[in-house]
Amino acid sequence: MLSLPQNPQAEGRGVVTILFWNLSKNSNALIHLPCLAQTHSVDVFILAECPKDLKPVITDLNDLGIGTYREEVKAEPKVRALTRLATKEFIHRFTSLGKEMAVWTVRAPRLNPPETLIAGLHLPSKHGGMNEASQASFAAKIIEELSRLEDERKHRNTVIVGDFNMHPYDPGMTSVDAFHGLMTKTLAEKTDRHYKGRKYRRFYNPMWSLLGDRTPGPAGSHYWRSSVPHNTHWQMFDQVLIRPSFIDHFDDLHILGHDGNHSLMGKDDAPDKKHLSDHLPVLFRLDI
Amino acid sequence: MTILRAQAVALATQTGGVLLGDVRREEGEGNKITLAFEFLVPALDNYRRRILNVVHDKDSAYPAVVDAEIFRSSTANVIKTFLEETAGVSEGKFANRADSDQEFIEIIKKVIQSPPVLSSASSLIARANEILVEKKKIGPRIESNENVIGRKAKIEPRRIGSRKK
Repeated sequence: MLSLPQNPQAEGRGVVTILFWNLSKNSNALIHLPCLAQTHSVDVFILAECPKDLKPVITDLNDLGIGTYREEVKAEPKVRALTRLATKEFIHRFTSLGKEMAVWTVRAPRLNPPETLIAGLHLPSKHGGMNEASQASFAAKIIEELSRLEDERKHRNTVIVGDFNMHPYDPGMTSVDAFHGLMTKTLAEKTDRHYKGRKYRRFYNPMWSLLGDRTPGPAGSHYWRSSVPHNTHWQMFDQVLIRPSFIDHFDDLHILGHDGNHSLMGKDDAPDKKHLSDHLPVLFRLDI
Repeated sequence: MTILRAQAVALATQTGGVLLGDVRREEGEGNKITLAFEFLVPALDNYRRRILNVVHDKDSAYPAVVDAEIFRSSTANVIKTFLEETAGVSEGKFANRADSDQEFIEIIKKVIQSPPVLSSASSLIARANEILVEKKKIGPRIESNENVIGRKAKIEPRRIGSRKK
């Protein structure tokens, strides 16, 4: 029997449910958003490689009667957001230089200041000509922009979610001057690290714990069907990073292989690339 | 910094304050300084869109390397990576490097007038207009034609030998 992430909103808590999905530009994948919204009570969809026209799916979402969904975007970054949160609750604040990252604020009454930063991103892949070193260099630029925004907003209630096109163990994800994502809460909760005369902030990367088949759900977020000699097949490109000061407000984390009614997997028990996307959705909740 | 600030002032003037330019100075790793130029739209909840970064040594304004969307095409990156790894050609040999005020002005002009930046400016002005008209119900619209920023943008030339950006 499939085990679905429980929706804690019924308990009356201030929970915001966020789902990220790289749709591989396939409009068929959009058809599953209403089921996902209804099954998991999704407040915010962050989408990469979207089909251009989202109006039909917004109509379908609104026909569910579980809220009024809208697109919240000021310009056209590479990731887009659909939300049923009110206009003052969820605001697009910043787009990075190459449009790879968009940052939204979410009103968070239980926090001080009462705000969370949600950074959605879609970074370049190795197939686009980048190697590990250039991906790490790119990550460093993204982090500089995000850190400046945190300083401007005067908090570190930050979550990053997106298609990093890197594994949790790639240099761009772990390097001190890149995302600096650490695999345990204990490591992440240490003070900012000093390196070459500068302080570098840390992230907790819970995706490490979802690799492989010792935890429920798919073994990764992306599947590569290739016969090259070095192939892990399951990749964890779609990740969530959390600032350590915010860990206690982070709740639930799942890679979804179904939308509650339909499987998102193909016959080979990997993401249905042919009909939907070669990526699976990642869902998490914030108690704010 | 001065050249970028002049561009920010020009932007505010041309758009009647609908679209502003903001220049920020950030300390980088080692001896590096980064100047960031962003579009700022007060009418859209003070939304910001970073347009370019300029990196130079703390002790010297030049050479300065400009990072912008037009310099980040995948083709350019492939060629750049290949040349760096095989021929030892450094980043500084490329079209986004300035060794003088005049070269810097030309690069900034190229970035500001590039399609991604013009498109972004046009889109932001249009969205801001909608909000402002909705709030005020009346008032003239700021022209949101893509050519406004490119046509009217004037990069003020600096005196040769000036150190200020």
